[in-house]
Amino acid sequence: MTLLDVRNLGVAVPAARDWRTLVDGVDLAIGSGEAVGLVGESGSGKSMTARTLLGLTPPGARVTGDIVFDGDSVTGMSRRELRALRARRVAMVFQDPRAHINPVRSVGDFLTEALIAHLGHTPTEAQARATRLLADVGIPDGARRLRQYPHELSGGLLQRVMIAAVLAAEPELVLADEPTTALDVTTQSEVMAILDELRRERGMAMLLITHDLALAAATCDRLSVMYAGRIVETQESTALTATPRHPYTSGLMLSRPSIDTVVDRLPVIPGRPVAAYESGDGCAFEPRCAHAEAHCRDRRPAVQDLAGARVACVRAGELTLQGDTA
Amino acid sequence: MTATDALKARRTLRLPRTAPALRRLGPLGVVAAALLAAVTLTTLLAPVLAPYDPDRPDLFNALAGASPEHLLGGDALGRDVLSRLMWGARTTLSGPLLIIFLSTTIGTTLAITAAWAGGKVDAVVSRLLDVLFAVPGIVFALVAVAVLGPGVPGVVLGLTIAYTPYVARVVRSAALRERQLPYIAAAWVQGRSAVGICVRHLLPNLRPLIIAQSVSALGFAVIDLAAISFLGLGVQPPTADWGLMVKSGLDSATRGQPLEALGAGLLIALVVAAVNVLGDRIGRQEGELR
Amino acid sequence: MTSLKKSAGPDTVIEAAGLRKEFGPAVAVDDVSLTLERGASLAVVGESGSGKTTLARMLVGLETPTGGTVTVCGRPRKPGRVSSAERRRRAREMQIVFQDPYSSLDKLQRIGAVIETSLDLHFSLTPGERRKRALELLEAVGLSERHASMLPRQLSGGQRQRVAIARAIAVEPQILVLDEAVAALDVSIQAQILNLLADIRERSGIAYVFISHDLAVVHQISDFALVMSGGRVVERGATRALLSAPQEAYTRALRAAVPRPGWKPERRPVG
Repeated sequence: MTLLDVRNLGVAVPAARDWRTLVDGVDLAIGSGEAVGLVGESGSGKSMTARTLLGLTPPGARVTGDIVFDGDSVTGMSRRELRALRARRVAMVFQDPRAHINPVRSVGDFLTEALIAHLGHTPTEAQARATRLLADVGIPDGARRLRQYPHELSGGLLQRVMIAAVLAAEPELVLADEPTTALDVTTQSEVMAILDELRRERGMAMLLITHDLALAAATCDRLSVMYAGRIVETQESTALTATPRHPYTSGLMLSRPSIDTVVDRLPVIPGRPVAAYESGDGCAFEPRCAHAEAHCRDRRPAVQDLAGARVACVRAGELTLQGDTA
Repeated sequence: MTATDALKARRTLRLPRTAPALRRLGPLGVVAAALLAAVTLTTLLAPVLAPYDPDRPDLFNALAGASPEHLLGGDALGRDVLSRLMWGARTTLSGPLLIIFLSTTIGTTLAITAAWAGGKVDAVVSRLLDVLFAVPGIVFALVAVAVLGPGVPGVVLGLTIAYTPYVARVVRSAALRERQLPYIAAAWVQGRSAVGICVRHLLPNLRPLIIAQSVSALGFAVIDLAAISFLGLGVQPPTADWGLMVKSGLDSATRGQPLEALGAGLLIALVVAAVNVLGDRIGRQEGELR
Repeated sequence: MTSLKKSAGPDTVIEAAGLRKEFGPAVAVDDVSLTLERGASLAVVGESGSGKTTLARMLVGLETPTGGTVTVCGRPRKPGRVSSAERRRRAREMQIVFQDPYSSLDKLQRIGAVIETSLDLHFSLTPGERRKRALELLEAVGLSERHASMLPRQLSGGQRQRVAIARAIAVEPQILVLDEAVAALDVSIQAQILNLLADIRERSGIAYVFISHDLAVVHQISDFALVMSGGRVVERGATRALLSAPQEAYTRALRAAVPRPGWKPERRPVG
């Protein structure tokens, strides 16, 4: 069953003279309990897409297309309905937990507030529940942690607290925006493991936004790769890593150094990633693409179905691209 | 209003492209800048513009009201009030400008030295600034006047000492922040001298803040100097000065000629308000740049 | 010179022994020794708080060691104030590139001026020669003449990092310390910079101290590696051997946490 259905999503923000397109024609579907990765570099529009799903757009932004959550249109929701949606059904985990937690209130206050306000717990119940939630995210001495303040906790612990807060509401969908980017690699592994385990136990769906294709592939069922505000490829994770269909996906995988093999020179994608508003009329990746031909510049490539993949590349059918071989 | 309408409205309100600096000041900032420009111009052109010699008494004009010959009438000695206001701007504004120039130079030097050297130097400078802070500015001016005698030099000296810590404190904390940035470390590893780094990197990057700070301080300096002149310790008669004119004008006002005190007081208020608006706008731009 | 150890041959560019740094009661770096050969690439790997960045800052002289010695190009670096001539000499031995491409350039200084200032400080060149050399350096890092007149804010993060590298190699140092120099860059840009760094080393024979938390990047760029944790070196060796068969539990845990095909995140109890 489709929980979240995004059709032809576009986001533009006002600039000096006209509109700057950040997200363009994004289609995205997440089923109940499914984990989907949204992978891209800076300017790809991946974070803006996630924020738009919750109505967290910058002031004056213009949103087009449809976002349907469990049969209800999110784009048509009032502020109050959006708040209710965010409080109960869709939760977000951010990259920098410190920026999203009030530094002068204790961890306990932070965790129990939502339980009391939205779920009608008594303070005593909330306290006990918060301790259990902390245990769930791998923090054993919950009672002590509840009395601590955010500055007393490491980034990894704080991110666990944020995940505990998300779990408290038992949402149906978690949007995780680079949740482990600021963390050490061993902490990243633990936080992702916790997220993964709890998500499976409770049947929550997840949209993981990340620049790290390997991380997304290891933790999500399906991946969408974004470039210049558009989704250029969507496949099952294992299929995408083995047989990428879009030159950008393949380039992204190959240009990342490997811990298992050393190459003489890394195969690079020339140039730099661009935002949607910086790209021309043709394929946005064309200027950087090793497989580009003249007709790639003609118009935006439509998304086509190709052996279980959805690819926005006119040459996808004729190309055989290298994936992650290991 | 939808976003598109707002965008259109913003577009039509936009000032000509040739004046991006003015556009950033906003309407009120432009008015303030225009007012200050007008006052400055009048001051510079006082010898040409002033209808009369500001120091020449004319008993027939003593305490006279407005007339076609004397637009703002005469003071107690019959000197032309309009001419005295024009000439008076010179003393009223040049003193504060000198105070701000000196205190900004000294304060910035102290601040950057302290922030760069750190350790004991910083501790000594910071304590010194704390001590200076504890004393109201007017006390320094009064002490200087007591030593040097009433007049502009003593007041300028006293107020310069009083204003220095305000500049130094703000610049020091900004310089401390700035020097933590990797580009400063890179310059150091490159073998650049401390003075070179401070002059070529720190100072230019702190400049917008320093300018904003000194413009705001200018407003206070105008008021302080006018107040001291009003008390009879600053600018001495018969020199034309707005502060003095408020004082002598009060006397005339009780005798039926309010224009001298009103004119001088209003000009002080307008100039200070304009300077503050401008300081605020410049400070805000500085904030946006960060 | 007595401070030279026996192990330090003529081709040793850095010889550090027993380095220690305390910040108040905290010990950031504890008894770290390392040697770097001419033209070699040494990685210092660790997580946040491992002391790797403090180690890098002590090597280039941005922090004064609490204990231990650093000998660079055969000359011991005495702590404390040194003459400006000595500081410039040290600059020609070792340079550094920082992580954040945004704040490592003066936002008011044009790109050409950044490089020319470096050259001006260390070489006596005519203005014409200086400008020509600056353009050569910009081209060597993949930028062009049109970038010379730009301000940092007109460049992308990757381009700024290229400028920082050009500024460092302008001085023609023996050693370049790279403190998480590719960590803040997009994946596709990271690969370009890693290739650029490999090219520069091949051409000039410069030695690298590559500070990083990223094992895959370290694998690609370094010959030797130190693994640091809690201020101490927990394991050291040739990079490939170290990463293919780590001996210490910490190194193994670090390696196991790197996402790769077929990898699953692992949960450990909190300490």
